[in-house]
Amino acid sequence: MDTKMRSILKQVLKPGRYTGGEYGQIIKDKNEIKCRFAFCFPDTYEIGMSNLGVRLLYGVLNREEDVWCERVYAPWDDMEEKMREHHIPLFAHESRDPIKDFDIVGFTLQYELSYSNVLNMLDLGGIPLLSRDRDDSHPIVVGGGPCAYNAEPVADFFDVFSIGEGEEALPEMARLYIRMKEDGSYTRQGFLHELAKIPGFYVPAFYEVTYKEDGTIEAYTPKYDDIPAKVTKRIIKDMDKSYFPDKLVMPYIETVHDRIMLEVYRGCIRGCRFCQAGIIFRPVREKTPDVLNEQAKCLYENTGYDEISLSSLSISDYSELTKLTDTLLEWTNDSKISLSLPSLRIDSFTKELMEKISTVRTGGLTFAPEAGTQRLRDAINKNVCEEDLMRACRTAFEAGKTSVKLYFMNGLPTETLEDIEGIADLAEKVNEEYYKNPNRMKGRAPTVTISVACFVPKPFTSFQWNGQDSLESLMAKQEHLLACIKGKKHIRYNWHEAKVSRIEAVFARGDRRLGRALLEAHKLGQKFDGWDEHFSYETWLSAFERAGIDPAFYANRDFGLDEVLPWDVIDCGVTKDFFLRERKKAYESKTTPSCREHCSGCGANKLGGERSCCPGL
Amino acid sequence: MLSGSVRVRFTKVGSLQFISHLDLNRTMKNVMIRAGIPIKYSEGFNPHPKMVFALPLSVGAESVCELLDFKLDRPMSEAELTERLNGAFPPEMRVQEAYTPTAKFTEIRYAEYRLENEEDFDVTPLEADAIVLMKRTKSGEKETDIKPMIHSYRKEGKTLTCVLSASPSEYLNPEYVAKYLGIPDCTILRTRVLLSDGETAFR
Repeated sequence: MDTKMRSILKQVLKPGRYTGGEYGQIIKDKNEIKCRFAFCFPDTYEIGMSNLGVRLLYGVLNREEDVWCERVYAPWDDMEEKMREHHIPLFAHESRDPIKDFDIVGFTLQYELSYSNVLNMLDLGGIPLLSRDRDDSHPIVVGGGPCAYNAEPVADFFDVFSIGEGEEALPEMARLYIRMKEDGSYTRQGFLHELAKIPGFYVPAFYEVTYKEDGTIEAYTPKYDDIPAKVTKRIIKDMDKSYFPDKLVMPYIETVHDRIMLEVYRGCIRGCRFCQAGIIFRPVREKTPDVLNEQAKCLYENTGYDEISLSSLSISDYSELTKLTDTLLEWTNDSKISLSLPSLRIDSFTKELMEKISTVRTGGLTFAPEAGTQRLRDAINKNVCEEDLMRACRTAFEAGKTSVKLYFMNGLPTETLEDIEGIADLAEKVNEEYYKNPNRMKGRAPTVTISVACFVPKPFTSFQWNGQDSLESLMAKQEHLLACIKGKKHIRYNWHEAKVSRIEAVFARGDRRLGRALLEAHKLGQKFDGWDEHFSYETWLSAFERAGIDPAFYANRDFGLDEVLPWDVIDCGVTKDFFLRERKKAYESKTTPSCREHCSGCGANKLGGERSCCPGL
Repeated sequence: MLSGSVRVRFTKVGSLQFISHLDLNRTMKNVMIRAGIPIKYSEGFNPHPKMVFALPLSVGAESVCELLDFKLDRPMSEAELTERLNGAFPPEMRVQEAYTPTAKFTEIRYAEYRLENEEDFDVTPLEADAIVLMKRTKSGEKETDIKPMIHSYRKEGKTLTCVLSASPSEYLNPEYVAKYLGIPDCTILRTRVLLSDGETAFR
């Protein structure tokens, strides 16, 4: 480490964010490398290091002998200031080489609020922000992750997007790059054109967008005959056989998820109508308990973590959960390893399950009824009822728990003030349930926390057409709920900043024209929007104004059902017909059974997949 | 063959100088599992591996003499223990030696540091009768004379080797000496841990 860097690291908060050198990091000989890949996470090290997908892709890319994938995170503002002052361009953790010297720079797009960081990182890296300003001397900039399903707002800044699961696609991209470099055929345009022919790669510049007079989209037109009109997402068909990283980079400093995350299955059998993840990761593909058990053992021995978290969208929907937990508990208890099951559904929470898991031993419990009344829970297809919640809470209280946290959303389509009042009622009923327990600890009062997020309409959901509640309405509903629980000291109430959710909604349903607003926001110094201390609604409003963009057009407008949507160029497997059917049922407060009970014909089975619950697979 | 109490002397250099003692503690817990060391756990509801470090190293300093004590549940040879730990350590941590301890950490009085600067620097300010500066103590920041905490020093070239107080009641962070001498960007390396005469190495 040179003197300058050492001196800088002495002056910044948490220098361990920037040092690299962790156990498990992969160092290769530069001279034997034909493709250098900088994998960027547009947020802090602590958040980025907790991401399971990054760990997977880091491992899978480095499995290629002549590819070296390194990690890059967004420096916190104290570090950024020092880097700019000393003219240190954004560098990768392993080699400390500037990212502009890499062949491919990848960004994972996990949430819309990280877009401003993407621009800032490109800028700090000395890479031209706009794809069209880059030439053959610049790295190829690729994006992926859940937000890539509607990447239009950031389309100007990326050369290509990888849609869907990247374990096979990214190595293919690196191989194509190496092949074209070696046979001398590489040009930026030529490479992107070849890439666009590979399934799952979307090169936005190759699709012309035309608009109608009212500002809505007229059409997406591919510029070449040999690229698809719609880009279909990639999936890994057999999860048992898919790449599994048996070694992890072990952070020195505490990260958000500092434990083994054992990915149990992908996809979701539920069809909550607000949930994007439950759709875009379809179809369900499970790993078998034996494979998972081997992988857990291997990770335990190679990492030294003493906590295993079973990761999935809804762990209680795993068809072999009992077998898996029993197999794991055979050795984890003796090794003093704790097992945790996040994302438990209310209707699956039983005493038997609770006794197996250690998260329950410490702290309180969290459940997500999402809405305050049965009518609204049916409209969003949450498929849980009040009795499920009461039974779950009773079980928890009987086991000596005194605190329960409940997640809700406000601003859901069809919501009325009655539904808001229902949130307060539900919290009160949970509180009463505590006192029904004859064996409760005397003198201890329960704490019920209600945490209420603002609904953000997302692409590829049944509510994708719905405009978000206005800021005023969201805030009025928050106030109403506050009034409902006034004087009830046993109920704690947290709510999300509606202004943040509005910006999220703009970008979630945005189109390509939003690139101008992002550029303006970047010029105004906007970054780390996911952090309260950095988010500035006023800055965003002025950025929209400068770009000549009305945020309400994207966030609050009800999109026409026959409108061309910005994400229509992407095929996630689930059809628009399915969303339309589900949307209709939402307005009739009719529920749809889970995939395991009955197939609703969403269309994702056309993608294939082993150990799925789709008919015909 | 080692059994029961074990002391390991190890290095903590390079990027590890920026890793706090708390983070080192967590890292060591993972290392013990990875290395498969049969370390004794604490009793009770939430058992954890019992480990004691000698002198927490301040952020910004490297060391070739960090000391860690723990107990083995079953005997293991020195060679095996060393090999297993080195395999599980991050690259900038290495075992220097592993042995059965005889002395207690409470006997440590001093630590020796090597301060190396890119430019030459003047050490005559250390000759002052009193060196009063703002020093962080358990009861907040206050004016402290650090001169009595400097046992001895010698300078060769651009390197200052100094022996500083390192007991629980009186601990001088070498960073204060570096800043006082106007060489805040020098490298700091802890080279030895010493007994009360300021010369004999603690083992």
